[in-house]
Amino acid sequence: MATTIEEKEVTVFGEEEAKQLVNELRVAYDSGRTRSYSWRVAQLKNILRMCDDSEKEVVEALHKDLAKPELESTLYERDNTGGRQLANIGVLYLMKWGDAVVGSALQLGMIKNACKVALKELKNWIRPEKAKTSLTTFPSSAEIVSEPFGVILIISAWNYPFLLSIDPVIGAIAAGNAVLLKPSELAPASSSLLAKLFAQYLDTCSIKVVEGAVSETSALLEQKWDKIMYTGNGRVGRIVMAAAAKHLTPVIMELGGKCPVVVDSDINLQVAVRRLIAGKWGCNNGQACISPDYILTTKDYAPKLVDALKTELEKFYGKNQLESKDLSRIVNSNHFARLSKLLEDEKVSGKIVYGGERDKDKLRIAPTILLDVLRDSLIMNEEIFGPLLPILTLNNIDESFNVINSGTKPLAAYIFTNNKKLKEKFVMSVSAGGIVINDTTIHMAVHTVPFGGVGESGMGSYHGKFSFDAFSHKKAVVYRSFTGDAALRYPPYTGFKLRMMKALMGGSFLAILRALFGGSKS
Amino acid sequence: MACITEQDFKIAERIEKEGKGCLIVVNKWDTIPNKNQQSAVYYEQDVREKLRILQWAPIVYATAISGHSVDRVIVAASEVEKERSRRLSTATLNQVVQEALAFKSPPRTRGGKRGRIYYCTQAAIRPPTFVFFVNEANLFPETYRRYMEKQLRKDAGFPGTPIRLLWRNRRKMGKMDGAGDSGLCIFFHNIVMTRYDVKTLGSDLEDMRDYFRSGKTKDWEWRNAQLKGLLSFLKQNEAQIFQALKDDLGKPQVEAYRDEIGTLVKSVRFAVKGLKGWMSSNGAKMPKVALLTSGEVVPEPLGLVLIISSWNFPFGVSLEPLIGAIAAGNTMVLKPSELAPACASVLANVLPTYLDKKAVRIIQGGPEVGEKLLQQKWDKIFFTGSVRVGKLVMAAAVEHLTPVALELGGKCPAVLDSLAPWPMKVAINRILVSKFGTCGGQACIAVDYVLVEKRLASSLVELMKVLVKDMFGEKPRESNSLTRIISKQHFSRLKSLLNDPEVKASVVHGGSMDEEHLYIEPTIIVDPPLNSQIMTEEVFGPLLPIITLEKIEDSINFINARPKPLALYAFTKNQSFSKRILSETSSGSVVFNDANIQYCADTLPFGGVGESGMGSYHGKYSFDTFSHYKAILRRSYLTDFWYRFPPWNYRKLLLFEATYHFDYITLLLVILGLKRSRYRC
Repeated sequence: MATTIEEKEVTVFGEEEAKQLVNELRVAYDSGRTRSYSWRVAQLKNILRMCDDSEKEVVEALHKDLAKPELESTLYERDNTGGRQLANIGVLYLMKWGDAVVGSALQLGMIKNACKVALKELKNWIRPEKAKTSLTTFPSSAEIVSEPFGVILIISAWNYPFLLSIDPVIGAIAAGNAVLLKPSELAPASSSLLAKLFAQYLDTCSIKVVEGAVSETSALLEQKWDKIMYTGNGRVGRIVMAAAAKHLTPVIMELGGKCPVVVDSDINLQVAVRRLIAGKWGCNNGQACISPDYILTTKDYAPKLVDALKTELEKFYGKNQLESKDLSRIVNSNHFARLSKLLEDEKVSGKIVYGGERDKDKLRIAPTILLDVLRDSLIMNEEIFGPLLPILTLNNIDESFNVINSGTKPLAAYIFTNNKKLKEKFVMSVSAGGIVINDTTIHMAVHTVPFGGVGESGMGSYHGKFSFDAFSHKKAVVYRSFTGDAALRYPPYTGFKLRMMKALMGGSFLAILRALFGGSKS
Repeated sequence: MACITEQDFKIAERIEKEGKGCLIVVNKWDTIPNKNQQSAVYYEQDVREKLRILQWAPIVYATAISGHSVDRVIVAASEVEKERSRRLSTATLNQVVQEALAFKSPPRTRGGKRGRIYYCTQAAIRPPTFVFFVNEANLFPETYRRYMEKQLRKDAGFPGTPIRLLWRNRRKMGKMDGAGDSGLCIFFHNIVMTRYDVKTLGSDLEDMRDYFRSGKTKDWEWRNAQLKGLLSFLKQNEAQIFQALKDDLGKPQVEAYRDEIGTLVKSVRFAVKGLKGWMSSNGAKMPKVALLTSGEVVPEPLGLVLIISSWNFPFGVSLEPLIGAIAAGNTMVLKPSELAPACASVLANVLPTYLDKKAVRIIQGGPEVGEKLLQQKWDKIFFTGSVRVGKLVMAAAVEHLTPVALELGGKCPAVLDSLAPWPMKVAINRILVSKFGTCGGQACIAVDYVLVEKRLASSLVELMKVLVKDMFGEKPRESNSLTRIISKQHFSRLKSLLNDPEVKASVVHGGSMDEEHLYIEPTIIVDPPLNSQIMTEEVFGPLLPIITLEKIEDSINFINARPKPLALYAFTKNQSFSKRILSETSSGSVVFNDANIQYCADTLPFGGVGESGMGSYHGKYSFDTFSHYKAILRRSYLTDFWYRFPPWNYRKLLLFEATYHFDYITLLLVILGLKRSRYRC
């Protein structure tokens, strides 16, 4: 691995090279090949084939990238807001089960699923959408045509290098764009595998991969793109958007947030708690952007909830949870230190009711529950991104809305309740990228709803048809014939024309008649 | 220490005359023996004495030979340049003028007549130029004019740049629709400059956020009531709106109705009718494996949004997005353009009486107010205007990662194929009304230039001349059907486009101008050089270049070689050519055989692509622009797959795989223990 990195550093990728690459893509796009239905289908099918053929290689790459502690330590030295780097995890429940096999199977599974959906629906997506026309423009017909933007830049994150890279690429291809993918340099084996596979399976003129770090990314961002999609943290997101502003490039941002869970008291506690655990600790040990961040519940119900959590956690992970192989470890030592600091905060001392064990050498933290946490404590002021679950207690469950809405808008919000009114109130008054009632994180896997953030958690959405739309410009097209021309559109303007126009635009036939026969007052 | 020579004085005079910025650098400062604090003061006195004409120029002392303080020269020079292009908002400016007037009123003549200043506005930058509209310019003696300049400098600065004060007579108003009345006539008594105190901006916005949090704006009743209020505003104030548009732009009533009031009334009605449907959620199909789960997508308001609009359709492009922001249930701030002060005044002073003031705020002001606004945190910024400012808006949005919708312009081409005589006439009429009959070509979707085959050019021009005459008469100057140019600055921009000698040589019709009344005759230009400014920047005025091509099919390459336009118009009966245009070019919208009408179609998204903008609006798309579509999944407690929960094993993995692939057979087989995992256990 080390040698390939060195080699890469020798071949300088500067602005000139970036410019040339973009030019090549633009030439390919201008040739019109990417717009054809057959090209799009062929590429999508190739991606499917690629996923089927390369399972082993993906496993190896993930293993290399994710099992190497020295890599992970350098990675967070470069990025101190590392928590967000992990954002936007595309895979549910089963992440990093100490083995890259699972990760690869699930990432590839979701990619293949996205491909299949696109292949099945593409004809419908491409078809122009008819639009009604009104009396004012009569006679005419109109439609909305989805046209590709042109040349797209996709910058993906390192934590799920395959899913977060290929999923958006599928949308861009389905919409008929030329694409440049910049996988994260922090997962070098996956990155070079992506480059290799793309070159091997896809149309290299229109779909390219550039590997590289900050300097390469900045060289790429200097260029003019037709759309940029970025997955990662808010800090880099701002850099990307600032670069996009120079060329007026629209952007899609997939970022993170502090996802709340409201637990009401009238629920099937066992099921709720299992689903909570699956979302929190079963989701890469809490290191996922959509995994629950904190719980809001009433003072009376909190002890019951804690007891249930303890029982189910023990069922799932056994007595010695620090050693459980079903839990991921903390990704690196910087991260471990950050989480430790959250636990050592004076304001949460004595609040730990479960877990709290740490093993610095193995980078492990046991599932930890904190009860009655105050809102001004450290743990409540940043995204936790780890196996710590604070519980905030309220006198009344309705207070939870204020707590949630006073913070920045999260990527997801969850509620467990059987109270219909509360459900509706939650849906109406909590602003979040997505909302799940009586479960956690599953909206990620449903391609019929858009996945994306709002406010601090991002802008733009994707998955399924929303991916296609994200990479398409909706062009309004009006067809007119030369007949049906009204003189009143043209100067010289007279009082009659004004009256007539008012009548026509008002759409009232009576008024039209009045205007025509002079019965109307001026 | 005598060092200001006759030569220096001459140069100073020249600088002042040409309106250039100036910075006085005193070099070789190191050679002054025994210098102390006083020496600089003495020296400055000397320079000021001798170069009285450059009173305003800052002085920098430097020693070039050692490089001492040379960097300060650069800093000071860039400061000067900034001052030279600074713009004062009309509100601030008039505040300053009012204060100056209160302190010292203009002298009375022997006859007892006294000069009166009605209104002052900054007409240009580089150098800053201020126009004072007064009853009689000759009632203001040189001394008073100098006093006013001094006051302006005292209150508003402008070091390093000369400023120009122009004194203009206010004309008597003509008839309402009278031919030839001055474009500059302004109903001064109508304009109420509500000076917005930006200091309270932060707390005002916080109040609006609180109001949004109260949830009031999310109710259907509230949204409906606001839309109805907007409708009443449009209907009850029609005359005032007509007048304001006349004052700012000289816009004819028919145009004002067609492009602004009428279109808006139609849009509000469309929104009122559609609101319930738009607000309701859409169900989403669920895969079978997600048993007892329902999914939906619910639109929710974004929160507090900012709308910055432009001067060419001061009501249209302000209220059209406002309709969407209200329909979506947001709180909002609207900043109308300061270049259309009468319209901005109607919006700021009349409109709020029809709307919930806690949720809708209209803030008047120029670029500096805009800048202050952009520094705040918003949930969406909707901007209509130029590419240059659009980039600034997007750059400002970065800090809070605010999504933006930018409605910009671009050079919208009209492709004119060969047509039979009658359709040809219709086509030309439609092009002409788009160019000359829509705010005088000052519209983002107006036809910018025409592409036509060479062999047709001469007959086209002849026909155009005739049709222009039909529309605007023999003397278009006196026609009441032509909008004037918005400002002096835009006038001189258009003038310079036309003054390019090569362009001037290609004018085949029109070309006359009246600077005082900001009038430009409908002008047709055939084949100006493609690298001339008129073909490289958006024309935005009544100048129509015609570009001739060998074959009309070449137009596709011609268009593709330039930035993506907001609209593309193609007049053709050739089906295969239409198809090629549609699939091979890119633009915000495409209209076949007509122009501009896409603007009033509620069912179509209106917006640009590439250089012409991002995001779209109109009809439901306005609602969408100001909404976040929230994914909602509802689950019951009844079904759950055991394999969702740890402890993990490979069998569970396989089940997951089958689930993700919606592979029900494998799922069943694994459950029944009939299929083994591919993975080694």
